[in-house]
Amino acid sequence: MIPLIKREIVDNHHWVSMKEFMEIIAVGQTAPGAVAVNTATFVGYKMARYKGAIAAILGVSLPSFLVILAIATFLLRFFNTPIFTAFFKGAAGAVVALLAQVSFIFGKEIFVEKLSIILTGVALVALLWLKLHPLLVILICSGLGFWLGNKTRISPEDSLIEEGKRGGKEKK
Amino acid sequence: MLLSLFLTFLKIGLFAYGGGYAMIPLIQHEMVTSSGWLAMSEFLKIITVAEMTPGPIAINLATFTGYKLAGFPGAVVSTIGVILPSFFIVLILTKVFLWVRKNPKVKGLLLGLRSAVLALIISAAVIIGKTALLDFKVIGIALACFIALLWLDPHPAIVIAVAGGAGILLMG
Repeated sequence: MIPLIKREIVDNHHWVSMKEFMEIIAVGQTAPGAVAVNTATFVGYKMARYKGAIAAILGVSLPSFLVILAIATFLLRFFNTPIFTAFFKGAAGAVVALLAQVSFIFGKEIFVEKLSIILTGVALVALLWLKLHPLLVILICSGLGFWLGNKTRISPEDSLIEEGKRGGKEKK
Repeated sequence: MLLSLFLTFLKIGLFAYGGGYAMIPLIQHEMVTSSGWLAMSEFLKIITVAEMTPGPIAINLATFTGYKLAGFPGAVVSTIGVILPSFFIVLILTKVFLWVRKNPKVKGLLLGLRSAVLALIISAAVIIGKTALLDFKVIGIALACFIALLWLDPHPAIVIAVAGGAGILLMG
């Protein structure tokens, strides 16, 4: 999705420069939620303050919202037919593979820091063995990162901007 | 129901660092594991449809889950719930981004957060894998998808469509 956003707002409309776009993607990945929604908020706000942000969010979410509603309204009743059941069984394999791939890519990206390897390990134990609540695990790891981040040396270059560059090459 | 859907998605939206994929384990915990609102098989169908539909996965997941649990009003409140935290956090970040970017404590916090999210996605792969990969045919499909994803990096919608087609051929 990022290349698509870049083509529209940088190349076609010249709403932001390439440098600003990188910054937007970095903010988009720092904030929670969909990068597309975050980018829309940022660009909308920059162009026309709050009204712009709201308009941009509506623009980016409405198509998905309506397509899902249409699918849910018209196709949901067929989901239990044998052919859909077989489709979903096969697709479930792909979902597991996708999650594995995302973990793989994400891991390669953040494991440059030793601290994040340790924290991921701690979080996995907390989730799978201790069965702690996911939000509690997120809070504990952020707290540990906040506390230890200062003591260990975090890479000298600006990691957020680096992420923005890498993000630009990703497909989604 | 509507209020608790809204609050649940607000919470999910607030902690979904890393976009739509980070939401999968959070929704799974809230809707399947702790409340039992959705069966795992239903949740898998929602992920499948969300991945195959264009647009941000986060929005697709929220809209579909909301619709499934409480019809059209459910879809509306869930989608708004998941967008709101992104909206406000992006607006705040646009003002303090330069400070955030340079602060080592904040860097550490983000590092911890990302590590926890990676662990969450891995645990979702493990938990979903346990319910989905019961049949050697599905395991085969998952392996083929994983290899294809790592080598060719096709769009997720294509992988899911092909895997579903394979499901119909092998199990329909």
